[in-house]
Amino acid sequence: MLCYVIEGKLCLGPGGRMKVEITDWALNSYLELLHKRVFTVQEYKLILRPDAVLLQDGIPSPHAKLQNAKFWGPATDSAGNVIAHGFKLKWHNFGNGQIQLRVCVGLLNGQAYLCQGFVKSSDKTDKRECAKLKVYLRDIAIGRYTSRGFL
Amino acid sequence: MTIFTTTDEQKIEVYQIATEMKKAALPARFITEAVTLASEYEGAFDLMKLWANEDEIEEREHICADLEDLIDAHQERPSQPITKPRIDFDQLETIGNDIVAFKKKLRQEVDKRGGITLLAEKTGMCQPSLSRFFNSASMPRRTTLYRIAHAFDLPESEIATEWIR
Repeated sequence: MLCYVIEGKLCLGPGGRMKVEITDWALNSYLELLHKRVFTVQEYKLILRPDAVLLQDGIPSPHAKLQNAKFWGPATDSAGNVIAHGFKLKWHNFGNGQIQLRVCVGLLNGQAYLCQGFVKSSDKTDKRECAKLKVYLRDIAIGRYTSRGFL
Repeated sequence: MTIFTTTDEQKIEVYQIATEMKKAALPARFITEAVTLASEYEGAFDLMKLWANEDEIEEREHICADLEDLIDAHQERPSQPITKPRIDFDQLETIGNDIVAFKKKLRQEVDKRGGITLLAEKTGMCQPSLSRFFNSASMPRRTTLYRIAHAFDLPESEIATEWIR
């Protein structure tokens, strides 16, 4: 993979693609969200997956959508501190339920890891999920996680 | 140092929160394992701190369920990255339905033997964690299934499922 880090930013070489790995945590959160009818298979295929695939072109992204801070930005913990390596994809007023859908993403080891999806029903939910993200990022950093393949 | 390692100051706070959890009558097994996890993982410490600062019972229950899930996940984490077979998104709905049906059947066995409250008592798990387990479509963890089987002396056949983490 033609990918390297300059001043903390993940960059891609010519023709390079960033790997986007689906963790087992992410897969199980999708199972739950799908079962709760948070999104449909069609919405996943037409909106959610294509948006996540944009990550393959690296960060900083050449895509306007990933340059929009309302859609893509750093995750913060319960104390308001930026979570190192932790980011969020944010869909506002998503679907018929007009919900706030979030997918937490880890950027480390020169690639992206989809960590978990959730509905941000309140700030409290967001804080809990961001705490879990820190646990997942630590396990990824020490190589103790389960993968379900790549996007 | 690995990212998100609990600091010494935070570790001291973990023990203070554990005392509060004991006063709130949370199971000793749960508290002990939460303390162990939060003494290493800053994210788990954050959850314990959120619990300590929370007034709403329902939110506290969510936090306990999150912690319990992380505890079980921690016990099962691989020693190095492993890749499980890929699952196509088109299959997820069917898989979710299978998991829900499996959990419904298991819940019936639990109810025959005294129900969730007794199960929580016997396993040392928080009741909200068990409620979340039985009501969710996520794949069950082996650790959770073994705890349930052990509590009610269920045979292996009752906890056998294709979809296990």
